[in-house]
Amino acid sequence: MSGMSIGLWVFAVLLFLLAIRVHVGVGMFLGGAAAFLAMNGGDPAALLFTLNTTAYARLSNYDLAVVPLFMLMGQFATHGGLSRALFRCAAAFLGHLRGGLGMAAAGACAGFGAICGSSLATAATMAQVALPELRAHGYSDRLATSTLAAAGTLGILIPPSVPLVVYAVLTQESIGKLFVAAVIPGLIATLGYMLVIRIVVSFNPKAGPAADKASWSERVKALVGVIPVILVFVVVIFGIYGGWANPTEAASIGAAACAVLAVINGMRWKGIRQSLIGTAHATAMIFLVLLGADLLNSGLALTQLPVELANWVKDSGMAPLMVLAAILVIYILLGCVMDSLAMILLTIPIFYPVVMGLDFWGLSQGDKSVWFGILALMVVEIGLITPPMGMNLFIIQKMSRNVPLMETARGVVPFLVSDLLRIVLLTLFPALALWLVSVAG
Amino acid sequence: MAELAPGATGEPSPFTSSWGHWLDRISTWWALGGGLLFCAIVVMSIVSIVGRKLFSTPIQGDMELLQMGSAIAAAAFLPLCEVYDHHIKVDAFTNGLSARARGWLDALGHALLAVTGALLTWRTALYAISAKESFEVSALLLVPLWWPVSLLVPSFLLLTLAALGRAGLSLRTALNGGAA
Repeated sequence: MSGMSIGLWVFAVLLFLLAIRVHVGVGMFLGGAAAFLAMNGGDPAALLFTLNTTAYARLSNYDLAVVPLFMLMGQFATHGGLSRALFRCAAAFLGHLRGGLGMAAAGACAGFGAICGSSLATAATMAQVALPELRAHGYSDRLATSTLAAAGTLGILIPPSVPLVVYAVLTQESIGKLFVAAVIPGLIATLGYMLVIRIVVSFNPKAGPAADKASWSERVKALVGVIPVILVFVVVIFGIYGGWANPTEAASIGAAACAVLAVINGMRWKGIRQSLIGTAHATAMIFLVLLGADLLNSGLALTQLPVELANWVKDSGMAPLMVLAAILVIYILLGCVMDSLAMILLTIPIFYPVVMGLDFWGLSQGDKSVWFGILALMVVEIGLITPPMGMNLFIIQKMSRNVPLMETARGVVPFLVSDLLRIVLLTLFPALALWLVSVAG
Repeated sequence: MAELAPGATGEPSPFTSSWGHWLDRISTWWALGGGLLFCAIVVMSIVSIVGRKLFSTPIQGDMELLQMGSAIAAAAFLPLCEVYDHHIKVDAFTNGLSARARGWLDALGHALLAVTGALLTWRTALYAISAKESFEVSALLLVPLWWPVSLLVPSFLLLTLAALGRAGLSLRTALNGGAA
């Protein structure tokens, strides 16, 4: 059997294993092991030799240490009451508009996303704060829950973002560049969500009534409350990009700052314990998949499948944009059934060489790699709010207690439209991501 | 995204047997130890960066220490996640099956994780031994490589045991028709 057909077989078996509930990390691990065995004619020596160092080499990767540190930072931020301050502030400025509290919730999610690298944590913590307020002001269940589910995805769209870290490690890209490139698309996403709320309430004014207008003294007071959040964001992002701290150090500083804020706001041993356990679960979920993906990627590299596929696509003369569109559609379909990080780990080693081999708008290789990272991030993020596996939908359903999942899923549709428009926009105008990188660099 | 909702950590232990409770307790403390190690890493990074910026005296070999520490700590998180069955799976295609059928599939999944864990335990232990015998040390601090590597072994062993425990639970569901 040729390497290419072994690679395809491994992939087919892997997808089957995943479909029958085998842990994603384990499926990848076994797929990688199978590729090693098949390429060596069944001799396990090479596989066993690789396995000696697999675990330590992967776990001691310097850049990957950022992941648990950002998780820790997000956990402390969740326990530190920062979400409440953010929502208060956004509501003071926007609440008097029709649908304004919903917009405030979206804005607060964006703010929380700036110190938290995960969507679920953002959706969960903002729902805790904003859902009761939205309900008290007579928002419809559909608008309130779908706003939070959709805006929760800003947690990973707005840097720091764990999927971008993983993308950076997989592709040897700079974490700092990717973070800076995500800023403007993240802001566009936030504005897009606010616009969606505005449009929804103009069709159905009862869904999102206006609240009382806040006085300027209240606004200033609310603004003071979010200064710590802004400081943490600036230190982390500009620390990384400005080059005076590497991502791991910046994440350490962010985690420490959020811990201090949380302790000031009343976090004690119980909260610390919860934060550590939460970090443990979230990190372990990612790292098991990382371990499996590591072996799978080495195995697939042996079969030459990624290289040959990239060459085949390149030589087939297909229009680059069509190829890209096909990749994005695959992501959206996969996202319906798969976790976003698992998707990135599974597909980037295959798709990245394909994209890098094609010409898009004459972009340089470096620009293309950053641009594709942001695009991939945006598409996988859609999977979080599409049934049947939309994790944000589940979280919001759990937090709201009595709103049916389908009600939220229906409400999410207009937000999805804005997501798709944004992806088209970014595909056609890579400068939206790359401009800030070139200016800041 | 792989993340827990705040408060979801208060789940009751999945195990009913006494050795299962011990497994849960040990995994929890092991993971907490890993978490505290990360806190120590945070403190070390900050001391180092402040030292470097203000006094041009960073902690010697801070990157090495971070790599070793985070490898040990991250591995320590793996067993707890398996005890509570939070590792990532695709369940969209199997949600329609009976609890019994899902029990069989889950038993297979956990058993395969146990195999993976056992392989990693074995090979990582061998690596630690060979690193000890060849006197491999880190570049700056000359820390023997086998120290951090051998500290991964208990984590993988515990992961294997947790996966076996979960496989047992799933098997019981499969045999009892989802009653337990």
